[in-house]
Amino acid sequence: MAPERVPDEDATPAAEEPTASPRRAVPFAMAALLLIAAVLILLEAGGYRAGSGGEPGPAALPYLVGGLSAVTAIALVIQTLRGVHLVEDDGAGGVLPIRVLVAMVVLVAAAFLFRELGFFVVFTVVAFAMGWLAGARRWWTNLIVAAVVSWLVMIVFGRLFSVPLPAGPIDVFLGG
Amino acid sequence: MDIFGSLLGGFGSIFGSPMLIAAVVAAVIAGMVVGALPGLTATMAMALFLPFTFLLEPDIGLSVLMGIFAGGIAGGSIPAILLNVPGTPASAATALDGYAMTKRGRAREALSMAMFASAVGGVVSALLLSVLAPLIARLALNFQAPEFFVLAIYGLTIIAAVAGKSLLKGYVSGLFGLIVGLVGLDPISGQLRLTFGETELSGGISLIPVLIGVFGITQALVLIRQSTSAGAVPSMSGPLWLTKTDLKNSGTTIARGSLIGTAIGVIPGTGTDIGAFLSYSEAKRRPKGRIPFGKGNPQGVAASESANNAVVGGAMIPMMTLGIPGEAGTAVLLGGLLIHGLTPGPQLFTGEQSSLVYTIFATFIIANILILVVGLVAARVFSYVVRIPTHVIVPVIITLCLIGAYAINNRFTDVLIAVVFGVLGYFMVTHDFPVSPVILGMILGPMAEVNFRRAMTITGGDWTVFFTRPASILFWLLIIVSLIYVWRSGKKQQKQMDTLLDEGSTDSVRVPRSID
Repeated sequence: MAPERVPDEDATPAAEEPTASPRRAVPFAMAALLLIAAVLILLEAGGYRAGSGGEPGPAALPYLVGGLSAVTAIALVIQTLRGVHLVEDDGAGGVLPIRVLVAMVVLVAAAFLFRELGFFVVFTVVAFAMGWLAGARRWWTNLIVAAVVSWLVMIVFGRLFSVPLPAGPIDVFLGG
Repeated sequence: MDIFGSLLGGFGSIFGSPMLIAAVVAAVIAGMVVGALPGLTATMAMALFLPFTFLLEPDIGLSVLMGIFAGGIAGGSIPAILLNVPGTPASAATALDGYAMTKRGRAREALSMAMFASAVGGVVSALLLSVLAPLIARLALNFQAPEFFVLAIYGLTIIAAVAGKSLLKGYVSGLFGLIVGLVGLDPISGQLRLTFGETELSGGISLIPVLIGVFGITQALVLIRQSTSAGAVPSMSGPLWLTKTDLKNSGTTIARGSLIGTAIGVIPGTGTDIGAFLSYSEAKRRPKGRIPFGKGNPQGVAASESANNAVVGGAMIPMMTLGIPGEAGTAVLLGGLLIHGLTPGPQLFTGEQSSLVYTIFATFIIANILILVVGLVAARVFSYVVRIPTHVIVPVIITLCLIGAYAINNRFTDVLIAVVFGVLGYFMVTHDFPVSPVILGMILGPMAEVNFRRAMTITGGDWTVFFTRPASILFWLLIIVSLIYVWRSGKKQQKQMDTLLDEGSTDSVRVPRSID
């Protein structure tokens, strides 16, 4: 069963009927991220060693970047509150449609499980999930494509380019 | 002239290596295929193939990147002409007349014109690159830390200023890049910065996983959000080659587009889309032929395509000679040079590695000629490529991104970094925060810092050194003039693009959300 999707033509943002609700959450989140980074940088840079012989030392750029980040974050908050340069909701599932959220979770999980479970299993699951989330209709063809792509990549990188891929029992069985 | 001798040597290296020729042909085809897929850009194609090039010999690896770059930009014209959906933002102007030609039953002629103009634009810019880059590099050999500091500031200022719809959002992205560039061991004092005790971060955050994340994974997530399935294969009608009249009428347009594109490319912070629209509007001011612009005039296709491919060569001039990447594609190319141990800048043109540089130039010329050959021979095949469904493309992109991020240093942390930046890039792209300044901040921030501190060490803390040397003064003036020019012309260009897109075609062009 494929996840809920928008129809073809309507899926392209430019083709969709925009609603009147501008998105503020992400600009606020970006401002918060920048502000947190600024505070961390400014706090840490205070502990750096001083420069010598006229050289400003390793704290100079962090101080500058930290200060600029704080000012820019505040400016972004003000800009967002004033509603300037906000993206209108295009109706394609809001800021984070469920299938994109699932894709992100799968990717993060893959990054952590890659070493533990071996290349082939993780990459086949990831490729299968991505195909499914992108709208593949038949699960078995999607699975075959995912397995073949993963196997080919494993052989090319593992054998041809000698990249040391983490190998589970299935990888060994398949020649990885 | 030693430049032409060196360029001939570059051609010799290519034709003396069947492997290299095969790699360039494959790269041009791969670039055109990716460029032909709506929403996928040449930059993304390069980011995807970057890890492959790392595993190849430097000459082959870098030639592959050049082939993908040129092919990717040209490939973007295919869906623009056949479907009215530009494969890359660079081809948005192409759709105005290209799709109108398709509707008039002249799809094959439009494609031929696009490929011909792309090839000529690319070759002209490649020749200018081959002649100008060594001359600029020779001048730049006299530059020292103060000049390079001001140059890096120039790159940072101008790029953030023009990178998106909102100046502030451009600076936010640039600052993220600068912050990421701070992480790790300070190159001068050895101080660990922003590692928070993580030994994995002491070497800094590598450029390549970030590139793969923001250009590859982000694009895949955007595709999942938009997920479209395959439609009907577009019809390919009309004669294959252009009429003599069309060729004659388009000669001046192509020549002008090639020069405009190269000139625009040289200015950091511009890009293929700006070059294409500027060339298109210039051609529109001097119309030839009976068909009006926007209604299927082949000159419109010629103007846009000659310029967007010419931008590539132009953008490589500041990147190769000064280490200043002007836009996303050249930033990825710079990443390609770095992973092969080559530092862009004037030193690239001296010593043993200079022969490699001329091989790259020669490859770029050959790649552009191949665009014409491949485009004409395989036009029908590309009409099928443009309809490959998203659920096939996305798993392939993600698989290549994850394995690519890992394969560079065989580090699992790099896979996580690529994923994190892919997710961050998704939120940025869907909210009009440009992602290119992240990369450019990562590259130019450390360049600015190292040269600033070197200059201060040499002069014992004398700040005036940045304002007293002739080249530095010139660059400061350039910064001021460019900022004023960009600020004033930015709004004008945006208005022009919007006007052209609105009135140029009876069907408005659907530009998919893509990453640049």
